[in-house]
Amino acid sequence: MKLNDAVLGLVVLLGGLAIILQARTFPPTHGQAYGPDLFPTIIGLGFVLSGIVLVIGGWRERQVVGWVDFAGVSFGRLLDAGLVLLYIAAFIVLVPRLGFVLTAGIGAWGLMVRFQGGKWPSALVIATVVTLVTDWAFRSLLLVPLPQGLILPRLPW
Amino acid sequence: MNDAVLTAFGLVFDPYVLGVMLAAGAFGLFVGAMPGLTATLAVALLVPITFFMEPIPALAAIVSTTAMAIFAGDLPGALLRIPGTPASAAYVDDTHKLTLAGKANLGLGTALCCAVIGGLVGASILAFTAPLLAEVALKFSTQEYFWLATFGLTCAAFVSTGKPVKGLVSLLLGLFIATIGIDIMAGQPRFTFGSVELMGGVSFIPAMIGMFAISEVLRWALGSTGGRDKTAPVRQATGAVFAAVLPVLRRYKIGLVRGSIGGTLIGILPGAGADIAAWVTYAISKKFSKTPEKYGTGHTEGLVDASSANNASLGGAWVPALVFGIPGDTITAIVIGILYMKGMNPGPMVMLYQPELLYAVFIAFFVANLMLLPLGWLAIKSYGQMIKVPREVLMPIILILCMVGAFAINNTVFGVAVMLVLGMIAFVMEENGFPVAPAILGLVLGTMIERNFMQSMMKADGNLLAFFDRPIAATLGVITISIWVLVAGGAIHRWWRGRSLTTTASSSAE
Repeated sequence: MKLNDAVLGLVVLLGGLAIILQARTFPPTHGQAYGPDLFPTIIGLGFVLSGIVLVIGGWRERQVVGWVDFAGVSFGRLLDAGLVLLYIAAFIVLVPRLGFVLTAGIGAWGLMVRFQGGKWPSALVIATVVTLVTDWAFRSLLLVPLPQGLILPRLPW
Repeated sequence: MNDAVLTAFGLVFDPYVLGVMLAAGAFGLFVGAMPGLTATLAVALLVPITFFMEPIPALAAIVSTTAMAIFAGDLPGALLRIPGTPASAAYVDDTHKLTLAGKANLGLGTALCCAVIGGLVGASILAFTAPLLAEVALKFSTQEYFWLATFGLTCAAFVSTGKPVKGLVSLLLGLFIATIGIDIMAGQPRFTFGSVELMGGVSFIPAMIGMFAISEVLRWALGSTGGRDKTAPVRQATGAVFAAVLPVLRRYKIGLVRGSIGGTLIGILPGAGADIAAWVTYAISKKFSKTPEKYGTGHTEGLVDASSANNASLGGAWVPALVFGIPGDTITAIVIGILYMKGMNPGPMVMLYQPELLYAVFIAFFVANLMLLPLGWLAIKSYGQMIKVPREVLMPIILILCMVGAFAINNTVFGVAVMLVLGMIAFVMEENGFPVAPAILGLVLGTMIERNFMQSMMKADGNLLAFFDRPIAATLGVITISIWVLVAGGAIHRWWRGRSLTTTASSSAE
């Protein structure tokens, strides 16, 4: 996904302005000339200047470089990338209720089937084994409290 | 000091640590040999596990993983013409054409031997310079640290490829993310938008897993790394691996020395890692060669320079990381993040209070590079089996490990969310020519820069000249500012010339 530098420059410029405005609300440190707003303001100014440079550069090459360009990426590939993002987002939302094993396992199985275009039995075996081994290693060896969820009973490790 | 060296030997030559290094080495070889998975990704995946280890095995595991992964990147480069890591891209034409000529064993054997030698040279330079520099660093005050970190970030922003302004934006993004959370000087929450999770700041580790691993999985999914199209059948390296290598090394011994030392020096520069080391030394080698026309046609000369340089740079990158707490590349940026999480403060104080830790890192480097010889040979022989692991299955597994790793740092899904957001940002950045390394360095160094800047400002009561009233600080300051002036001047000059060219073109068209 290629964007023209002017588009990105505009994002950078507006982001810089937002940082400066937000930093202005920080209260000054008592008895000091410089407060917690100084450093973010410098960063914000840097963003604004870089944004301007990017916008000018991108505007000048607008004939050569389009505003947004999805060149050469098929719909299937976009869907693949979207599913990767969806998997992580779903993990964040669902893991407290469904638990680690179900959330990670089902998602990984689905992605494997989608990427390979089939082969669901072998993918099911691999996804199950990987998820269970990860759960065992992290929960009982490394003592990471991966969420249990409310559906599956407590696994024996 | 000798006690510390002996202690360090005892610490590294412990069966557990050696076992960890061996396992990490095998892991590094596998990840590096998979096209589209980089050495940095290997380290990012290791982080959640090292988090639960003692510092010495954790650091030894990272040293071992990276040394192996950089070499392993040469394998798919030679056999499939897809560099396994960006560090192998500079000479992929040479190694692949050697393979096509039936000399895969010569190309890979040379790459392996040069990697070992380069790695050992880099480790030696690290072991000799780091203690000396640490003595100097002990005299540093806030001004020196401010300038040193600024110098490091300046290098990181402008050394990287592409437009300097994009490096700058990336750097500012890292610095900005570092300001999120409770301000260390005044206790003021900044950019938290009322979120309790954000009060503690954005943890490095989920951020790094996102920026290196998630963005790579996304690139793979979209097919931008070239790994998803069915490639030509894998050729095998047959015959003796080392037989033909010795004459090559003897013929190009100057290149070997030049590549190893050059690579280490580039590694020391903050922001420039193994890939830049390989490109630069390959170009230098070509410039001094008697037969530059043979480069890229299956010639071993540039391969000697560049494949020793990329492994040597790994050792170099640890010099500023261990001495000043300023990472030399993205891998040492992760290392610094891990050290902070373990409650250690990377910098000259480590030399003072835990010298055995430094010596252990040096020893680990030597051990890892010696291990590379047999493990690398095995990898060359078994590559045909290794590449059969389908990435369509591997990528979801990597995602699981990423999510668990990001979760494990604070045991909340908030880390996973940080990973997701920064992974998407890093993906868009890389697609559009923004280097990611400066952002990581900015994120790691942001707090330190701000603290030293604010303390120096308070000490000087706002007098900016105070940043120059100590000799080392003044020198560093002048160098840093000169780089900025040169880059800005160059940009303005190019812009001016481009403008006058377009005006003459349009006036002549009229």
